[in-house]
Order: sequence, then structure tokens, then C-alpha cells
Amino acid sequence: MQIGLHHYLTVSALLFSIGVYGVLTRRNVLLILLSIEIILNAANLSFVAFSYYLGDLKGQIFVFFTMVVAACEVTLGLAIAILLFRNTNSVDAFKADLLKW
Amino acid sequence: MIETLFFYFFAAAAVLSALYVVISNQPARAALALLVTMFCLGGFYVLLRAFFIAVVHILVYAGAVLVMFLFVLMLLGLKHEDFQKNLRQEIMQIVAAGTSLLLFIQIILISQVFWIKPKEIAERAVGSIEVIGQVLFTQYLLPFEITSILLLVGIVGAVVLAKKEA
Repeated sequence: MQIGLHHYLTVSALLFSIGVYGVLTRRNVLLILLSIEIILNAANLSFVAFSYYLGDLKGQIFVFFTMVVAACEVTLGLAIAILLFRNTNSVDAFKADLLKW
Repeated sequence: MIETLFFYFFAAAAVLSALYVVISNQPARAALALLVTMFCLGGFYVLLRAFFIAVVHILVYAGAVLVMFLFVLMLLGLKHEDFQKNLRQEIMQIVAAGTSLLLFIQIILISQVFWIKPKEIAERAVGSIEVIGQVLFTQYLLPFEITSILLLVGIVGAVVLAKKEA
């Protein structure tokens, strides 16, 4: 059986929903960031799959830019996690309620 | 034939390790499971002839992002997630599982409604370094340069945030 576009899209959708589940259930800020990485990579996978099956390189260029943004996002997210740990002595997302009314 | 085999191997490994990332209650193990997912995605990119993206992906994620994650995990010295759970959170967990399952079905349905037919091309686009560089430094030169500003802002922001009070 030939592997087609929909095979890759199914894997991508699976990874995306797993990542969403992680973001919704995790309480550790670092693990929420890990789940966001899964989501971003699911999007990247469908970009590359479309790029291959439509014969267009633009998808791969976009993946390159997504990676740059993801790297930035992780750096800032980890900095915020360290800051949160310093202020509340925990990385529990539920304890980050300083801005909560 | 061998490609089909590799595809199913990578797909199973990627999905299982991603599941382990969201289920395991040991942060260090979750980060290492994400490493497996990243390598499987790198394998997918090679199967899709996106060689440059595959190499950059492994370099950035396995080499930089996950190492940084492990550093922060060890700096904060977290053994495992010992957050107490109550009934409300158990219910929320089930709701979250249902939501993500619905999301998955939704994506599959949408991708079948707006079905994009793969083009029959004699030669597939191969994302080698030469070809990607050609496009990146001509057609996408301005976005490429702007990413450097984004990275600079990211560096400055991280330093400012993580710095001790001056």
C-alpha cells in the first residue's frame, strides 16, 4: 500500500490532539511547554507533507520559520517558568494566580 | 514497500512516545520521551525528502530545546509531579480527553471535506540544502532577516526575565 497524504495528516492530527490533551490536563508549567512543542511539531509535519505531495517547497520554508518561532517561545517560556519557581517556589500552573482577581 | 514499513514504525513510535509525554508523571522521563517523538518526526521528514528540514529539526529540538528543558528541570530539582488531585480535576481530565478526541475527529472530517488532491508529479520536490537556500535567500530574504530580530528579542527577553533583581 502506498503511503499518501492522508496518512501523514492522520498522524499529524493525532499528535495535535495528544498535545492539546497535555496542555489541558498538565499542571506543571514545564510539561505544558512540552505539550505545546508537540502541537507545533504536528503542524510542521502537515506542512512538510503538503509540501511533498503538492510539489511546492514553500511548506518547508514555513517549517523553518516555525522552528525559529518555537525556539524563541521555548526560551521565553522557560525563563518565565524559572521566574514563577522563584516567586511561588513551585511550577504548579494553579499557583500562578497573582493576576487572578 | 520499505517506505511503508518505515512510515508505520515511525508513526507508532511517535504517537506512543507523545502519549507518554502527556501521561507520565516524571518530568525528566516526559522530556526524554519527547526526544523519541522528535527523532520519529525527523524520520518522517526524511521519508518526505525534506532533508534540510530533517537535519535542522534534529539539531534544534534534540540538540537545543530538549537539552535546555532538561537543564531547567534539573535546576529546579523536581522529582515528580506531586500535585494533589481532587474530584473536580479528575472530571476536568475526562473532559479534556473528550475535547481532544473530538478535535481529532473534527480535523479528520475537515481534511476529508476539503480534500486536496495530491498532484501527480514525475519528480518530487527534494528539499536539499541547495534548493532551500536558493528560495530562502531570494524570495524569502526579508522574512529570513526578520527572524534574526525575533531571535535577538528572544535572547534579550530571556536574560531580562531570568536575571536576579538588579
